[in-house]
Amino acid sequence: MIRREFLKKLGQLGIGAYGLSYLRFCGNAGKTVSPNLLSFSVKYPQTAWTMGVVDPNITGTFKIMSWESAFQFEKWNLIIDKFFKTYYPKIKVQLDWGISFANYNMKLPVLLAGGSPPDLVWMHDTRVKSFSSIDLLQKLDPFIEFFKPDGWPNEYYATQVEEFQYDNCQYGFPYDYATGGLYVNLDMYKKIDEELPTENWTFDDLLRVGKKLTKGNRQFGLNLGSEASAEYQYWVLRSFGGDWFNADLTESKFNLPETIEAYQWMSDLRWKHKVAPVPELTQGRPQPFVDGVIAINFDLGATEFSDLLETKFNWTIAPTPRGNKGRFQFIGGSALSIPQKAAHKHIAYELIRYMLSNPENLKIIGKMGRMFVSRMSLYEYGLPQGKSAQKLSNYKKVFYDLARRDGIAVPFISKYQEWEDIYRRNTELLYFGEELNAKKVCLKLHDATNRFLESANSKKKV
Amino acid sequence: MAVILPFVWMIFSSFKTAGEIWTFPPVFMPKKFQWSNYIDAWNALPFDRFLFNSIFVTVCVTVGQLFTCSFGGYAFARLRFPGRDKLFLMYLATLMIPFPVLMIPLFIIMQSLGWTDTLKSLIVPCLFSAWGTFLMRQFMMGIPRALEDAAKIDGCSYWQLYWKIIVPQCKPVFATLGIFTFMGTWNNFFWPLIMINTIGKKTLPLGLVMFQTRIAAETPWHLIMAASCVTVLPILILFVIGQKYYVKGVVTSGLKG
Repeated sequence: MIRREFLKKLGQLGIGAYGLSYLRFCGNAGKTVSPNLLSFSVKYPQTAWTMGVVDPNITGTFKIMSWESAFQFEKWNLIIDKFFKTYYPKIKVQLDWGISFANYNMKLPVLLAGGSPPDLVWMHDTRVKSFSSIDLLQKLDPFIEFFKPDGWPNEYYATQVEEFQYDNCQYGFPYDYATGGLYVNLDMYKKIDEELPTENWTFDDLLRVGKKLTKGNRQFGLNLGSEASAEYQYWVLRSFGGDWFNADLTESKFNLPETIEAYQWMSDLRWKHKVAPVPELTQGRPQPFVDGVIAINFDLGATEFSDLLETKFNWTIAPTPRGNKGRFQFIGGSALSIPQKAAHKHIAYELIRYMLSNPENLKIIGKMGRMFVSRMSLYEYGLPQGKSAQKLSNYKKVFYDLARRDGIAVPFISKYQEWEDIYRRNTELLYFGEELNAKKVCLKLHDATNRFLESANSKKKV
Repeated sequence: MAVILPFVWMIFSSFKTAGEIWTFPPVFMPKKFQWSNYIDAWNALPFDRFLFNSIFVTVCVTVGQLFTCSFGGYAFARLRFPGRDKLFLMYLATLMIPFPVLMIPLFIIMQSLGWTDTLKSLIVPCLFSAWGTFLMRQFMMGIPRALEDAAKIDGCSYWQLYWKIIVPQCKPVFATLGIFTFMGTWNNFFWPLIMINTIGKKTLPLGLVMFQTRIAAETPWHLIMAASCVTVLPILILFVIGQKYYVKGVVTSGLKG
């Protein structure tokens, strides 16, 4: 077989000039790598945003699936439309958007399991490890190596880059991030002789003020980390020195005295100090802070933002406190991923790179969205505009500077949803006041978590 | 009151502003009726297309099911062939298989037929119903055999027996099954969610959730309520017209659809 024919055969198999180089990338060293044969043979003219691997005149359908709603998808639509018109004009783009988050997470597994995956999907940090651990997502590392995105990875939040990795491989390219802060009702606050919370406040400082701000069942001083949602509590227990798991995610840390102390503190807010509303008072009340029932409320940046502008009281934002073991700030976010069996992986990656590392496009996403984009240098496009900008002069500090400094990755293990069910079943006892002793709950959760991790890790080994 | 209140709440909420939706304690009546919500909702998404798709799919499935179920019911009730009762029991047993079990195999079948993202995929798998066949069979078993015997003496074929004797006798059960199928198909959400990927092929229930965002506070509930009012209108009209058959259906089948 002459050399040309041999190379042609290799090309047909999808092993191009660069195809084998990625084997040295991520993944377990001893694990048999089943290379998803990717060709990186440059056959066509390269541009700033295309690799030259795919024929610009390619025809077919490129499928995108997103949970963004009718109004939020507009910004993406603009960019996607421009990309395909410029670089792949003959490709038909099929956009499946406007699927609510819960429905999205039901539909996507069916499409993946049914062998009809989209080419590009929206991926949440709570799920990326679950999908990638069962080989449903494509590793992005070979693409990143071959056609590095602008500013990657140094200009992106390290916590987010890490959040979308599994087994040291990158499975999602982050596009936005949400972080937590305190929303303060200034009308309530000015009646007590206290300074506004700063990042140097301790949890005790906050509790002291919370007590002053509480007026029976009419007004509650503090609503902080007391929701039953696991990820919103994680930063609190890390501040106390606690944790969920050990570093290699094989053992529970719910038996640590610091972990127990953190959960006891959160439970006591509601049931001992009575500074946080009990569930009966907040159920059916979608935004108790907006309704003027809570003085200091923990929530994500931008979550309540536009709704708060319509409220009748003065308000501001403030940083979350620090604990005995330092200050930690919640960070969560979303990414774009490529399914393992996607038909147009190269184009999908080019589109990801075009949307999420091109400053011009990130400006559009930042301005039209409600959160910061994941590329830190473009934070300014996620800041409030106009009157809100004047009113919230510390927005950047609370939701950008401190997040960048103290942001923490939540350990979303694979099968996180399964584990979260166990977590909820146990911690809800504290949330609903059925058990007031956090130690009992934590020790029970410790055993259940260890059983879960043991089972999950043994299956992984098999 | 408990039944009607959510409905009335939906109607009034469809005229509220986004801010009024979130007010606590909740206000029942909007300060000013925002008629523009209906126009905004209609303009934000192609609801005319969703409406057409919903009507098309629902009519096809309803008419199709009336035929297939009545054929099946007639065969199981009136024709004699080996293994008839066992076959019927087996068919009936499929009612016990939950949909999530069938979902992926059914999806793969649709995919291999090249029917994903087509309205065919919403129509064809729904043309057959074990429950509908059961309903028809039970009703047809109550029709006196003498009528058929007389027709046979007059030289009627099986088709003529079905069409000229059985079908006219079965009008009430046709109406019942028609209403149940219409309502079920009109409100069907999960299967269309899986099968349909493009906006032009979405049905009304899928269109409604396109307003929903990951963060509840960002969802324009006032527009969803306006669109929901329009969505519910055909089913409401049908229910008012066929109320007695609906009730009869519940009594006959012991099921609420």
